[in-house]
Amino acid sequence: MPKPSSKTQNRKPDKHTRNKRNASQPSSSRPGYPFAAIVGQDEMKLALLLAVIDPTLGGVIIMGHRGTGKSTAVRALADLLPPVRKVKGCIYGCDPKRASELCDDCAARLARDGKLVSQPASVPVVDLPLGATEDRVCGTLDIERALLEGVKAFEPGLLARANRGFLYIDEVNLLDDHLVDVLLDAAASGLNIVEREGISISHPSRFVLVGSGNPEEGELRPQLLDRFGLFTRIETITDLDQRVDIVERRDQFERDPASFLRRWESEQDAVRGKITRAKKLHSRVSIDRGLLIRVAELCLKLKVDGHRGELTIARASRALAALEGRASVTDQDVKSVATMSLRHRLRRDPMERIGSGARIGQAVGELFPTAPRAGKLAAIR
Amino acid sequence: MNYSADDVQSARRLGYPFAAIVGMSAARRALLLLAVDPGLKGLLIQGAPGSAKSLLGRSFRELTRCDRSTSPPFVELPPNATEDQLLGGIDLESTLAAGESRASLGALARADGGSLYVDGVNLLDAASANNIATALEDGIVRLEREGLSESFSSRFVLIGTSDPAEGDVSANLRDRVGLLVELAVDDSVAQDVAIIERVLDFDKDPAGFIEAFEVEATATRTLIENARLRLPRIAIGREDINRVAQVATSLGVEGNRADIFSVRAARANAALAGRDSIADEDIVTAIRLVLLPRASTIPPKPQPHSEMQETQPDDSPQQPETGEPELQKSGMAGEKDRTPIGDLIIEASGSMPPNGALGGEMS
Repeated sequence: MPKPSSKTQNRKPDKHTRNKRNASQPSSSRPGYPFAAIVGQDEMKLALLLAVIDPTLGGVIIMGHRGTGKSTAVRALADLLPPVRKVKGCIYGCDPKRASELCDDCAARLARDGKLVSQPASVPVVDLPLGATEDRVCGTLDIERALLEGVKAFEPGLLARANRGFLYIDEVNLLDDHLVDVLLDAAASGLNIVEREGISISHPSRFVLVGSGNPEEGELRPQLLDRFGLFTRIETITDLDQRVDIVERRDQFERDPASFLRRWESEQDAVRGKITRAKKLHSRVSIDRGLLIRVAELCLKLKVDGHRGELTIARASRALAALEGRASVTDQDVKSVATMSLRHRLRRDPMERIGSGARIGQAVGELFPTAPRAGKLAAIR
Repeated sequence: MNYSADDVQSARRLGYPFAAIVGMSAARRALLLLAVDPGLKGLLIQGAPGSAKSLLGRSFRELTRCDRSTSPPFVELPPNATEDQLLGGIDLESTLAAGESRASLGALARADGGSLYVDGVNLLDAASANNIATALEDGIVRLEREGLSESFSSRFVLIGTSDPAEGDVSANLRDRVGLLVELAVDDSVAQDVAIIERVLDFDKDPAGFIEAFEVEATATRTLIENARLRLPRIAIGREDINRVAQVATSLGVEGNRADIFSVRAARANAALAGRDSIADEDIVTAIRLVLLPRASTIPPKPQPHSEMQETQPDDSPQQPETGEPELQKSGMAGEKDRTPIGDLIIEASGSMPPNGALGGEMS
């Protein structure tokens, strides 16, 4: 391979580093900015929380201006997620309670021993860097073991690491096409099927896809766009007070992260508590049939293709009700989530690019005329 | 005077000394700010061929040197670098020899603790530009390539130069870097001659040249040292942040990073001046180097038919004309007894001639 062309001298001699192989790689030693301290951008924060409460929603895509806290918010999620139980020793982190979603190893162990030993573990938030190669995304032959031991072992990739967690792609619209294909396959089936370099294996890979990007950098493939449950737009905050808050908090955080985190710990705890309670309540939240019919009418009126629109609104509004501690979905819930659920599902009209949000808002207003918009998005405050 | 071969070699390595640079006050100021606070993340210098932008960019190495012969990492990246060169990859030779995977460090990891210099930063392809932008933001390179799964510390400042005739710098990169400067080609023949003479002198006898500027260089280094020590003490109040945010809003600057960079730049500027609090000139410098180059709208300017006329002094210099010629209803109202932000913007766009921020004609 080509030598780096830099003329840097006096470099440390350790030009080569030993490749540490551990499945749960620490993403960064630096503490992250706390979610609770993120100023404004309510729609984005709400969408992310809904995706946490209901992972079947299909993830979130956040598109908009640069420097508005997109990746800060996504990375901050990791610190909010309640721990889950995973099968001990399983590289995919299988859920011992869901027999149908076990990997081959765990399924064999269950058949053999009649039980699976589990342990608490954190939910992974895995970064898919743009320069990643396909072998690292899907997993591939473990070269080291092949060379040293002569065995054909599987080296799991990012799709394995992201199982039961979040897979985050910043600048998602710049992702290579072949990686997009791999992601679409895995996202659709919940399985990562690897057929390469003599390896033939499939393993569970259920993840919540979170993407962010700036629309100016490029278009997103419609198939990929459709995979995301919620689409949120983000813009530069123009409120002066909020802008000052942003700069002030960021400054405090960068000067002394430890004490900043301490100061925000109770707020963080409040959000964590809300998430934990909502996840418990979620399965019991009901949605009225009449309301569902109006949701279907809304999608019909907006000419949304397929049923993913209704389904997403139903799921998102249930998650929102759970987040607010209610056991049934209200009109207001539907109104709060309709735009982010449908924004990317309207038929593309090249002549009106910004119009989709307004079109949805108008249709929602006609079909859900009740209650003034008081306390909008109160859930995340 | 005679110098040993080592002296000459280290002098060549450190390159043209910062102290010997003629003119270009805005760009020199930007490099000083960057040396004081690497949290500013970088400087992009735009200029026509022959505007001495590379000389300037490379002088950062000498500016931040540790002693006579060493400097923190200063990695030069050719704009056509491959993804391997940038991110790192598997080192086949040593992997096969050792029987275990070994990574070779890419430029981003090698620049850790120092700087990455790209001559022709606008010539980077989109993928490279985004990889650099991501590393700047995260301070870390995530390598998921060719069987390697590793991350490396990658905290560096980016210094890039570009010729606008050859295309624009990636918007993502511009967003992640604090300081932006546009060089004007200097009309003054005298200054031109001075630059050329000095460069020739340096080439002839680098060690002697560096020696000749040693007194100034030492003074500059002391200035930077002291400013770095002072930096954490400098308080910046809500009122100051508010003024920065107002300017950013009125210029239609995208996102919040620029606000944050502005505050850093103002603080570094105060530190260089030996002050413990922010003064107007610090904010003016921040506007000049951070906000104005990102303006997407032109702030209200004195025009006969402008409603904003009364907020503007009559003798203000002409505003630059590039960008969307769209008048913006201001966030100009509401300032207290401080200098009105409109004045600050005007001062910033007229200050430190002859380097026009928006490429417009400057008084």
